[in-house]
Amino acid sequence: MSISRRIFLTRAARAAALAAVTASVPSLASAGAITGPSAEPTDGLAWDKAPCRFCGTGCGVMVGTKNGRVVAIQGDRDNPVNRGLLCVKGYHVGMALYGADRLTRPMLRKGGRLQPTSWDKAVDVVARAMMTDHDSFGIYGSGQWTITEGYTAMKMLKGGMGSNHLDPNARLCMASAVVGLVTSFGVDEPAGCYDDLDACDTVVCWGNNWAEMHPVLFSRFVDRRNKHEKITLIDISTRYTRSSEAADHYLEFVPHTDLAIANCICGQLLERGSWDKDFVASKVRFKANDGSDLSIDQYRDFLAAYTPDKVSKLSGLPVGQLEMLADVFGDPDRKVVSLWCMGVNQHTRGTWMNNLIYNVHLLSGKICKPGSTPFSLTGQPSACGTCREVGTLAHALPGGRVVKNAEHRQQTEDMWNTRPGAINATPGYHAVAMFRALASGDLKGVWVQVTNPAHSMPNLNETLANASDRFVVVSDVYPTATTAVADVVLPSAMWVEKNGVFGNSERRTQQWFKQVEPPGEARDDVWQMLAVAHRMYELGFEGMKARDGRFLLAIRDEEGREIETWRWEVFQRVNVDRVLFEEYRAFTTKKHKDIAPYQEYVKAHGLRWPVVQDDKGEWKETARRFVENEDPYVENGAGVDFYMAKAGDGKAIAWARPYEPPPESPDEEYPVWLCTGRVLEHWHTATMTRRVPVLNNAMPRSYVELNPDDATEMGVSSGDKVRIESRRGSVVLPAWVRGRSRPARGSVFVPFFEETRLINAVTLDEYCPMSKEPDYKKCAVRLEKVS
Amino acid sequence: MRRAPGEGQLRPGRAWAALLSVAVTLSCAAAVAAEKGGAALEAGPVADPERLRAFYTAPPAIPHVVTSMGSGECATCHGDVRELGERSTVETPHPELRNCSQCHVGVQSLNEGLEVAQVVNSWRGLEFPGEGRRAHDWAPPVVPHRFFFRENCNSCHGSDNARVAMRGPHPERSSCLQCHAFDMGAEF
Repeated sequence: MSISRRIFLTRAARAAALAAVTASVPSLASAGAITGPSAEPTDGLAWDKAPCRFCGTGCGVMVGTKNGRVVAIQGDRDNPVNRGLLCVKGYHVGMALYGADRLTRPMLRKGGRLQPTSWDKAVDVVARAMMTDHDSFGIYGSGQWTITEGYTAMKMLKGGMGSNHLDPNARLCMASAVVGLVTSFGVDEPAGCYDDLDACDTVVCWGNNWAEMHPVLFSRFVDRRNKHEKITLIDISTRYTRSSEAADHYLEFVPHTDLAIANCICGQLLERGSWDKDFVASKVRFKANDGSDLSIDQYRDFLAAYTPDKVSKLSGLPVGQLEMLADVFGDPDRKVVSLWCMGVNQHTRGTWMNNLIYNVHLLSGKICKPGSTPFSLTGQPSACGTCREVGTLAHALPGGRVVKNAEHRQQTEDMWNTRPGAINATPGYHAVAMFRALASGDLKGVWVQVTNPAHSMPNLNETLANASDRFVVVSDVYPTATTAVADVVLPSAMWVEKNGVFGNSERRTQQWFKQVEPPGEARDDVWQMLAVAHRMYELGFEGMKARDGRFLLAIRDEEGREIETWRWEVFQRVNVDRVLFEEYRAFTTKKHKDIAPYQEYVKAHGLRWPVVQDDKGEWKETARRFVENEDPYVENGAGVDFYMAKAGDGKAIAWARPYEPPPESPDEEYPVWLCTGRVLEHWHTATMTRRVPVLNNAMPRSYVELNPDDATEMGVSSGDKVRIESRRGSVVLPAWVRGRSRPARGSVFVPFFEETRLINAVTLDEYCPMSKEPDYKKCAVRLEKVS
Repeated sequence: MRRAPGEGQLRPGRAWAALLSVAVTLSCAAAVAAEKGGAALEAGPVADPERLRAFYTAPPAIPHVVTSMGSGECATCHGDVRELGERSTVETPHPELRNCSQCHVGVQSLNEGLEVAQVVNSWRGLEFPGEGRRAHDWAPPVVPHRFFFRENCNSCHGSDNARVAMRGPHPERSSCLQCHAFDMGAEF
């Protein structure tokens, strides 16, 4: 039997079983009536699709299972994201399930030590703590939450507990991208897609090392050179990386001056008259930083401060390179994609910097055309799907709604069937504020899911102060820096041990089925929340009662009978994911981010929203938003229509955002820039990748990367121990000189993956005032050779 | 008995462990050479390709030191077969893909004396499939894996580095697919 046919039959069988789920729930108890979504045990090798567990690229993988275990991984050739190719993390993603220290039992802290307990006890303890402090209890979640996990957390906390203290770790990576898109276009998420990498002739990277962070996309572009296509890569960076190595132009700038560089490009386009006058006249408005309207002449006046001469002095880029950028964007025949990720987003002016890249593309008309788009990359597999679309943020409600808006609250309360007024109108604590509030005692407890803040938050010493006085619940798959400070640890099912749906960087929603059982007593995060919420309901907590007095998070069959999903044996046999996904789907049309019925995603290798039914009843995805004949919400004859513009005029906004200096720059006392980031082999805090032997062997420990000239001056060679010290903390790391990358002179780079040498004890927790995203990319440190 | 690929950690076999210690030595030497502006040492140990994979079809790890920052230099030795003394290099089966470091990582990449934390993982990877089916005793075996990424048969079946079991018995014949049909039902 061919692979595709085998998969098809497996899926068809599961789909049939799923279709029957809600209709036949009363017979759930009868054996065999419903097989549920989990894979049939088989002695043979079975393959099924899943999106990769790691980054936001959202590659499709084929998971090979045998005897109830994952045994092999291949790239999914039918997935348009990666067409069969993966990176080294993706090829070994299956091994992340099998680290020897998987958490397999719930644990409670007694006498200072975590000790095994029963699920019933753990659920009861968590429920009582959350009830007691219901409006001063938070959930700190993740861009690795599946869509339904984020949705459940939101409904439980905002709908049931009257608390808005719900924020994800995605605040640390893409909040600036969100606010940038919302302020420029009136709605979140990029207009373009990965197809533009095939159609463009130039890619401009803004502080982005995609050769290591989004390698499959990097290959998609640079492999075109092998086919003798003429393509150009321009790398604007503070560090010479593997991406720079492949670049035609490497532009090394002084940290934080990217604000001025972008303005300089716009200034030159206006000065030279090489801007796209028709496009700007019909599709773009100009606004001053205070929100007042500007004429194009006023905008030109604003840009007068950013001539190539002036910006060259500030940024360190030669005038020629600044002019080259204007040549590229000013050439009407060039098709240019801009890419960025953490360099732009983790920036104390991250929102402005996002706006400024949009300005460059709006002014040059290089947007909403095949091969021309600004494209914001994401770092987590469902930062888009869960955090941005579901909206698991302190100020948000599902589908682009916000807690401040009375109408939005009412809509949500009606859809959730909560009592009127259940949703609190005051936004909760965003990530950095949440941990400050925990330290101060304003927040009494937090439930951390699918993330590791005791490792990843900036300025950790401050973050963790007094953590031991608060009630901390952690759901995770391995022991982490965060489980170490937890009062309750709940073992979770991960990836293909559960059903799930992720949404990637290009608006692609991807579904997968459970393929193997979780180890020991590990259970789905959705179940954990349903169980705790139901325990609160049993204990009489009013918030968990719907208008009819029944359980708020109840799932019903088609005849209205409640399915007892808080019971693990029931949960396992029902595809709760499907039911919750359909419930969430009703929220998605408001901002024209329509998603299709669950069943469509079972069949597809992901679909990019908006997904709308055509005349024949087929569900059609959208490659490019705001573009006629591609986006169903753009009317015929409109060409390009930014239809979510706040002013209702279909125009995007070019903001006059100024350069302003960073909050901390090198000085006599702390003379060196510190930049932190990731490496190819490890993903975020490496709780998964450090347990994969292949990856750990390749990159066994953290290091400080020095510029070779700086190293020579300091008398430091590779392997020497160097102390990196800031005003906040210090860490000692081995030096790496002439290694994988080369930081600019006067700067060092440290990867943040290693749990025993926490560079985030050194970093700054200043953040963008608009997006609240901290800046991990720049602070001032001093170096000292230790040995 | 053959060890399952990737069983336990990427644990080197005895021969490979010996070579690994060479690799670490080379690593330090290479770092010194690189810092002095000299060329990186180019010779690397040859290893059984099966042992470098966590499971069948996984991209193999690189059994030698990699000091280059980019991937373009891989093609110098792996673009086609190169003789290095008495040994020869492995030719890439997918020359159209040039971003080698995306999938292939070093066994140990930091150029210093390494203390690698012990990683315990109970992964049991898929084993190599063995010989393809034959219709009868004299029939040429079908290809038991998929073609994707493996367009160049010589890379695995023609090189001196190929495992004996994988080595083609008639290297003088180069039109492999003339006789060896694909088993389209193969999983790979």
